[in-house]
Amino acid sequence: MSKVARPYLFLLVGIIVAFGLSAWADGINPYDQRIVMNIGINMILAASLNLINGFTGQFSLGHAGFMSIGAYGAAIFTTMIAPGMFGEVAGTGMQDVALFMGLLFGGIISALIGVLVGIPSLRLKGDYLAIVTLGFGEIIRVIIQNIPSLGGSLGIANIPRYTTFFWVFFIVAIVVFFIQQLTKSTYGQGFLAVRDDEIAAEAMGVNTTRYKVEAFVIGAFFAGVAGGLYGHYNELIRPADFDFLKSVEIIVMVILGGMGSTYGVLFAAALLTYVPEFLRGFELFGVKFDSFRMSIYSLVLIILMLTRPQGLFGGIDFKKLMKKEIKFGNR
Amino acid sequence: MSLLALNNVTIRFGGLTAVGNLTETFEQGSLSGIIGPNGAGKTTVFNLITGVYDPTEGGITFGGRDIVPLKPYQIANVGIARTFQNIRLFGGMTVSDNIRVAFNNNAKSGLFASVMQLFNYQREEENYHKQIDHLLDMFGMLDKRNEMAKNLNYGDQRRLEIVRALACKPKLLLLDEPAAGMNPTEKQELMKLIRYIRDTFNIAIILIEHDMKVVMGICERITVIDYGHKIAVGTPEEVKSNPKVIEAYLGEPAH
Ligand SMILES: Nc1ncnc2c1ncn2[C@@H]1O[C@H](COP(=O)(O)OP(=O)(O)OP(=O)(O)O)[C@@H](O)[C@H]1O
Ligand SMILES: [Mg+2]
Repeated sequence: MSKVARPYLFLLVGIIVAFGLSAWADGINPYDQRIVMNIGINMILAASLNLINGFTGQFSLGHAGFMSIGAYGAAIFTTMIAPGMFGEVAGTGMQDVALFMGLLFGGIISALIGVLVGIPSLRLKGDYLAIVTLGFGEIIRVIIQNIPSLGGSLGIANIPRYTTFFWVFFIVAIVVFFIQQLTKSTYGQGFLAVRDDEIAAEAMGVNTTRYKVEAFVIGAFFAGVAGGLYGHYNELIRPADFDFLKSVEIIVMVILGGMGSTYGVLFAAALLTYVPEFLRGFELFGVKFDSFRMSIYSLVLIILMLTRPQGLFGGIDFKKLMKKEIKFGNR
Repeated sequence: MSLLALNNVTIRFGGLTAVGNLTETFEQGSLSGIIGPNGAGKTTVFNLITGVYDPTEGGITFGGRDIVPLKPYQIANVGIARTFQNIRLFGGMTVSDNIRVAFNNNAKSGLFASVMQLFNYQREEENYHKQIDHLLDMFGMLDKRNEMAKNLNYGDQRRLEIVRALACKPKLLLLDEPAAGMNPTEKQELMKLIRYIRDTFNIAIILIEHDMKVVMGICERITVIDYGHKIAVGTPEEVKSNPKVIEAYLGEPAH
């Protein structure tokens, strides 16, 4: 198969999987449906943050901020702008068009804000950048909370439920395709060079400024899209949904999955979305697990970080592993 | 016209004048050395040339063009590549990808063309890989192309830094203590390599080096600096017998 066709084939498989999941969605109960939906949305968030933190080495702690911008942007689009453009769209084929445009709208606003947040990254590194991006996330949240037309801390309710399994996993496939293709290309080596050694990267002619801002813009765009999907599934968005803890949750997925390993991060997103839900039902010595499930969750994370600081999949070369398997099989 | 000209370059860090009133020129295709005791300001000269620091006073021209206002990456793109005294490879990337970073600047495929593999993307990538393999082959590192840079042994790391710099297709190559930490045999090989690079790539090389055998053995012209000031310049023989140089070095028991 030609080298060009292969990545597109992967994308196609992703889209088919999205279709498949979509067909299966009606058959499962709403509780499980919500979990699967959250898995997909968290995959988008984690994979996009991975471009900023994992591939480009910038410590951003404000991903939930980008998510909220996209969520509000998309909600405003479908509830206020789209009706003016298309009339009543819910239930018609036009609802997908409205959603698509809403996601794009939210994503683009988020990307524009991403430029602003990317700028401090030009001067700040590590912990300092983390604090600034954390501050950004909180500022966004407080600003939204204080805008009455956005519903204040009550948020926006009655957002139409346009998000489907197909949309979520279609976008997961797009994000994975985009980031994989980008970070494998010669152009994309610039991101990794910035992560490994900025001074050396500049000395090799890499415009580190452009790469850092681009990482923030792309990351913010997809986080915004994820926010739009979230809002159009949850039907309600509140500033509190996008607080500091949400950013931490996404960061943990990236770290656990292994910085810079797209598939590891996807797996971690699925695991860390599912496990807390799974633990919810347990009971121990008559005490509902629910009351201490977050403690267990934290404990598991601490143990993992102590035993595998590079993440579950960090530093594993899947290609090499696959080749070994194949060779072994042929023998 | 000289390839590189430093014109009364001075840089002060607080009260310390790391480089003072340095005027020097380097010619196309020349092989020059900069020597001086520890802390003399040699690396700072490289940092000034490559735009890591801006001079407090004075000017630097490259091919007649003022490069002081340029950012480091722009200076790299006009044709000055370097290696670092403390090796600075992209540790988490493979040998081949370390070199691929050099093609980044000239890559015609931008962000979207790369993601979508549009236009000549595939042909360009193949072309880069061919060039990378050719370079690695020249330096006997082809078998290491898929290894992580951080896993290479010390000598290979130093060599990869040079290969990587050459992949930038420079007109001027700055080598900061390339022989540091090498044994005598490796140093001999390195000297051959540096001459070979100058001859095959037809570029100018400036070398900072403490090992006198290496410097005297390959450099046509040597600039000596002490406490940031140029104290002598000339052929190896001239420099060796210069009383000021002898004094500077005898005053520094470390050498
Ligand atoms: N960024 C900086 N801030 C303050 N002082 C600096 C800075 N960079 C260099 N210096 C000082 O400038 C002087 C020259 O340093 P430089 O690294 O250029 O020396 P060198 O000749 O390369 O020495 P060595 O042979 O040890 O590598 C030293 O005193 C150093 O401490
Ligand atoms: Mg030095």
